[in-house]
Amino acid sequence: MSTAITPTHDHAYQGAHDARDHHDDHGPGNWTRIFTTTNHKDIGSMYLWFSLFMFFVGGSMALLIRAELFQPGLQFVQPEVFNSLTTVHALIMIFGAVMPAFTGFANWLIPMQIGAADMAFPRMNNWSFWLMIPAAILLFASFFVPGGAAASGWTLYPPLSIQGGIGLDMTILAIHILGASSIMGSINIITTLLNMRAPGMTLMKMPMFCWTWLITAYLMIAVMPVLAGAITMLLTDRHFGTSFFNAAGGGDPTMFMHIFWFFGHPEVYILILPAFGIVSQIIPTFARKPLFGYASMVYATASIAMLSFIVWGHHMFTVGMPAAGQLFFMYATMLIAVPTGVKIFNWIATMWRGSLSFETPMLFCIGFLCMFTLGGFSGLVLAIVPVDITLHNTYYVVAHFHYVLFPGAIWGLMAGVYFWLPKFTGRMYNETLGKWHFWLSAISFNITFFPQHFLGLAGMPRRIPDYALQFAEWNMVSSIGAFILGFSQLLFVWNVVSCIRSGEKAKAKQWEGADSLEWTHLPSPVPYHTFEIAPVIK
Amino acid sequence: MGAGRIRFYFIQVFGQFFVKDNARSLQVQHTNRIMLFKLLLIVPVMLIFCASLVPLYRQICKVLGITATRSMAANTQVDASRFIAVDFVANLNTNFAWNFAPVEKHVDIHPGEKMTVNYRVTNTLPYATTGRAVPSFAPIEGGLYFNKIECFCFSNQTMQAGETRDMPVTFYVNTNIPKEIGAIALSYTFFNVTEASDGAKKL
Repeated sequence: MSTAITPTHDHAYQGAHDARDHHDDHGPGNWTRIFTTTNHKDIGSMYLWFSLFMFFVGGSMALLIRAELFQPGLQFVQPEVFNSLTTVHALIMIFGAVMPAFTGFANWLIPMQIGAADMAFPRMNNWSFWLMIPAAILLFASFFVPGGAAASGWTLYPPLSIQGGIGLDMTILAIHILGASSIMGSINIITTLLNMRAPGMTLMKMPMFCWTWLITAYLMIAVMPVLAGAITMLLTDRHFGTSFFNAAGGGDPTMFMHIFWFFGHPEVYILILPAFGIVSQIIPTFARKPLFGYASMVYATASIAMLSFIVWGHHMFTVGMPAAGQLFFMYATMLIAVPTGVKIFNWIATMWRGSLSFETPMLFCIGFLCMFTLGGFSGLVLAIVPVDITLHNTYYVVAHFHYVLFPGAIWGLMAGVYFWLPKFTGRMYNETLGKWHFWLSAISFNITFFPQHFLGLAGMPRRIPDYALQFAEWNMVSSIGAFILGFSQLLFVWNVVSCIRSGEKAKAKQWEGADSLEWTHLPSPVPYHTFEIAPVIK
Repeated sequence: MGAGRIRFYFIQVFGQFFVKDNARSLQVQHTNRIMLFKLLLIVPVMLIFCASLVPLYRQICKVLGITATRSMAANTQVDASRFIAVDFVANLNTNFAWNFAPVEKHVDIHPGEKMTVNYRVTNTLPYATTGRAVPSFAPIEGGLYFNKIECFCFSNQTMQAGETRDMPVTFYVNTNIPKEIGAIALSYTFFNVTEASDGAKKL
């Protein structure tokens, strides 16, 4: 992107009022600012801190699960609690950690990358953040009510979800609230991207992060109401005598699965597309080459999003659908590998003959590339109907989705944090510590999840607190890996906190290959208000 | 909390509707507002779509011929040339202390012939309970040709403590039944719906 404006430094320095110094029209300057702020940078930070907290809460649950599975037999938790742990671990990681983290990046970066002063609806922005807090409280509190937290798995399949106690109602309510929050966030992002771009910033000049978020936001508005509909029907089945899914009244539990996965499959792309955007900006920066095939990246992302609406059936090959249906979903699923392959090859081509350097963000992106591809391949294995019928509900599935979600979504986010932290805070993180964080994560991730492929192939079912003796060795290995993985994330927190408190001063353009507006036109740290006068992009 | 602070929070929350925002031009605000309503429209559209999934599936399956469609009985004359073996099965959903069994376990009938059989139900519990029976067939396709005229299923059956009752099923097998199907098993599962029906009464 060629941008030829007089650097806005003079504007940035004249017009910028840093709220930390003086708080003219921004209300209370004390900590209560977090309740009233409508500044996209404040709200972005709040989203990111919230999701970091939830990441550790969800992670602790995962460690409890792995502790229980360290050996056969019951050691730490009862089966009912174990089921609640797997359920709430998933819900927290999806709705509490990954989605808000991406929204946090969207808030921070989208206005700066398209040259806007703020998001389109700043007050709605504040509201969509604060809605998540009661939802999180509801989820936590459900552990302490009679009957315990939801134990049906995050997919909330009936009849289990019809039988649970009040904890399940609280979970349903929490998901309703989080859904409303995501819809508002998405509306805000789409409107910002479509209406508030600086003069000259055409859609096809937007950085890839903006593009992937534009598509993700459309996915979210489309599928969140479907999930809301499904869980509302669950709620009326539970309390108002309806029988949508209740077999005792002639209802159809399979219908819930269809509706849920019509939401659920686009949801997994909601969890990964923004990470694609982050990676698409970091790899060119450290390869010191423009992104290979920008337009094809945009079209590939859009095709992935559209295909995601017609593949839900591959989550339920075993419900007894007609062979024609199985074939359709199998081929449609395999088709998604084509645009995804386009993206993978574009990233590789971007690195090809580039002047590569391997700072922490780049390491995470390369790790992303390798591990995500592996997870994608095991997804293709699961797409084959006869294979899926054997592997369905085994640990192979667990290994598959952790391979796409941890190195996919989480490493994408980690890479993003290391990459933009100098811009956000004006200080550099500790490179050595960052590299330790990467290598420890990379190695322990594979120790944790690679053996789960073997367990699945050997027939170990998922969501069980106890298992047959022949699975003992690999489960032990997996649990050891999980604890290293979990604790090495503390290095990340340490690095972020010490960067904010005492990191070295960062340059305005910390990475020489970076070319989006926040690097080329704004100082580090970015002032509280940016681009109040829009830059002109040529 | 002083009056000034209250006014401040009020403006923060509702200000958009009363206070002019100087920072951004009104033009952008206007186009943003239009975009907001356009995007909000997607929400009800998707809700309607979600609600119409079932009829939609049915229609698509019908058009593509993916599943056999339910055929209506056109001819109820008795086809004496063949017998269909009908087995009766009774199941209880978990945690339901009733006795539930068919009086006759097996009948052979001609397609088109009307037949009534009984299921015997005893509430062994020391208090009144409500159950609801849901039928199913094996093979599933057989259900398409099995026409029930009278049945105790799908309606709440309240049994007093210790009560025993015979519940009749009147049915015939459609004469269109394919040659391959020589036997049909009809299975009923009783679900305990005492709580749900009590809840519904309270409502």
